[in-house]
Formats: sequence, structure tokens, C-alpha cells
Amino acid sequence: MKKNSISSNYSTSGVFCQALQRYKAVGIVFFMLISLFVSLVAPKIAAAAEYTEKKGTAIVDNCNAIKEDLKSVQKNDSKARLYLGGRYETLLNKYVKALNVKLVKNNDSNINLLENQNQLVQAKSQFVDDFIAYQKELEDLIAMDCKNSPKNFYEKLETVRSVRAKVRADVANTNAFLGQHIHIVGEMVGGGNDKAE
Amino acid sequence: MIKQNNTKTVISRGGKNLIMLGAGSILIAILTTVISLVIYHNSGDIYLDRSRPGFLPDETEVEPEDENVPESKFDYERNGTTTKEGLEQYLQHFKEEIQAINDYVEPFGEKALSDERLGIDASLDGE
Repeated sequence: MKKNSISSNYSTSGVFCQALQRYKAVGIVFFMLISLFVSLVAPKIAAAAEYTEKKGTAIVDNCNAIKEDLKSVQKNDSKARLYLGGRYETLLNKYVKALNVKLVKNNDSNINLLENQNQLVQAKSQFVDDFIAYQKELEDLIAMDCKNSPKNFYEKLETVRSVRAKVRADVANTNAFLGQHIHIVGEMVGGGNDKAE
Repeated sequence: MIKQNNTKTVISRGGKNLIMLGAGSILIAILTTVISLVIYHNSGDIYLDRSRPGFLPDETEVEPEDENVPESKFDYERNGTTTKEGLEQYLQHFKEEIQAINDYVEPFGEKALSDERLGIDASLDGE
């Protein structure tokens, strides 16, 4: 009897399941390393830029221009957040969740896909949280008096850079989980080739 | 005389009450607006809202149409059986969405806040 359900075909394959488990373990270790790198190394790299008197003079001289640049960055970042947030929302609701719902309805639910969905939801939520934290810091920076306290301004700028690095890492993380989703579904299609046809 | 006095008192109190009602309404409106704005700000929603003043697209800002419409026309059917063809189609559209994300040039890139970009040139250190 010809069976259309691909996931059930692939789920019966013990070798394939073992391979997926192996990928899962490697994937978890990989993302933990990335997170560790971002949380430990990125802030230090950002903090490597030190304040000097010359920089202070440049900040005082270009204070207004710097603030205009920061406002422009703030606006562009807001646009980027809206664009990426919209895409992530679409992918989650119209694709990932829809596929999992269908698989569950067919009693073919895939534990890796469900786990991937949870990871995506968390990554997207983290992206939004970090973006809000970044925007708050950036807003505080723009409101600072750079003419009279350039040192404080530069220190705040370094803080903003490190928070921005977190947002960048969140985008990379979310994209990595989306890539993982493609990989899992691709394996389902590939794994179901022989038996589905 | 008594009647007249009573009437005067009633009119006077009514006017006072009307003023109090107006002032109270304005105070309540101001209070609820302030509370709403505090919640809007503290919850972080203000930072996710691009329709707030100063964040609307410029008139000169040219945006590709697809950037403004992130919604995909493709909608994966939640009912029915899972077929290989269905999954292949799913993957194809999914990859198109991923491509749209990858095409976005350096979101939150490092350079935007660099010393050089902001005019706090690090090369000044060596002078």
C-alpha cells in the first residue's frame, strides 16, 4: 500500500533517527559555544576601544553631528527590526507551526521539529527583548550631554555597542535555527523518497 | 425671600459642580493618558513601533515594495496528509523567505556605531 506520510516513513528508520540525535547534540553544543562566545568575548571586544583625550575632543567638536548619526542609526535599526520581525513571524506562523500542527494531526509529529519550533520562538522573543534593551540604551545615549561630559558619553557608547552586538547575535541565532529547520525538513523529504514513491 | 435664597444657592452649587466635573474629567483624562504612555514606554512597545513620530519613513526614503509587505502569500495547509510534493513546495517557499532575510544588508552591523563612522576617529590616538 502506497503511503503518503513521509514523516512516518522517516521516523521508522532507526539509522536516520540516530543520525538526527547526533546532529541535535552537535547543534546544541554549537549554539552553546556561540552563546558563550557572544556573552564573554563580544563585550570585551566592544570594550577594547578605550577613551582618550583626543576622542573626547572629537566628541565635543562633533557632538551635534554624532547625535544626528545616532538618530539615523536608531531609525535604520527600527526599520531592520520591523523587517526581520515580520519575516520571522511569517516563517513561524505560516510555515513552522503550520507544519507541526499538520504532523501532529496526522500522528506523525517530529520531536526535532517541535524542539526546533520552541527554539525559534525563544530566539525570536530574545531578539525582541534585546532590541528593546538596545533601543533604551541608545535613547539614553542620544539624550546625554556630549559637550560637557564626553567621557561618560563614550562609555555609554561602548555599552550601546555591546548591547547591539547581542541583537546581532540574536539575528544570527534565529537564522541558524531556521537553517536547522530546513535541514530537518530536507531530511524528511530525502528520507521519505524511497518509501513514499 | 426664602424661596429666592434657596434658588440662588442651588444655581451657585450647580455652577461649581459643573466646573468641578469639567476639571475632574480633564484631570482623569490627563492621568489615564500619562499612565498609558508610561506603560507604552516601560513595556518597550514604543521601541517596536515605527509609526511613532520621527520614525516614519522619509519622503525621500525609497523602499522596495516587498520590504513593506513581509507577509508571504504562501500558506501551508494545516489539514490533510503530508506528502513529499507538499513538503518540497513548503521547502521552496521557506527558502525564498530565508533568502529575503539574507538579502537584508548587515542588520545591526558593527560599523554603524564605529568610531570612524561617528567621527571619533581612532587614528587621532597616534597623533
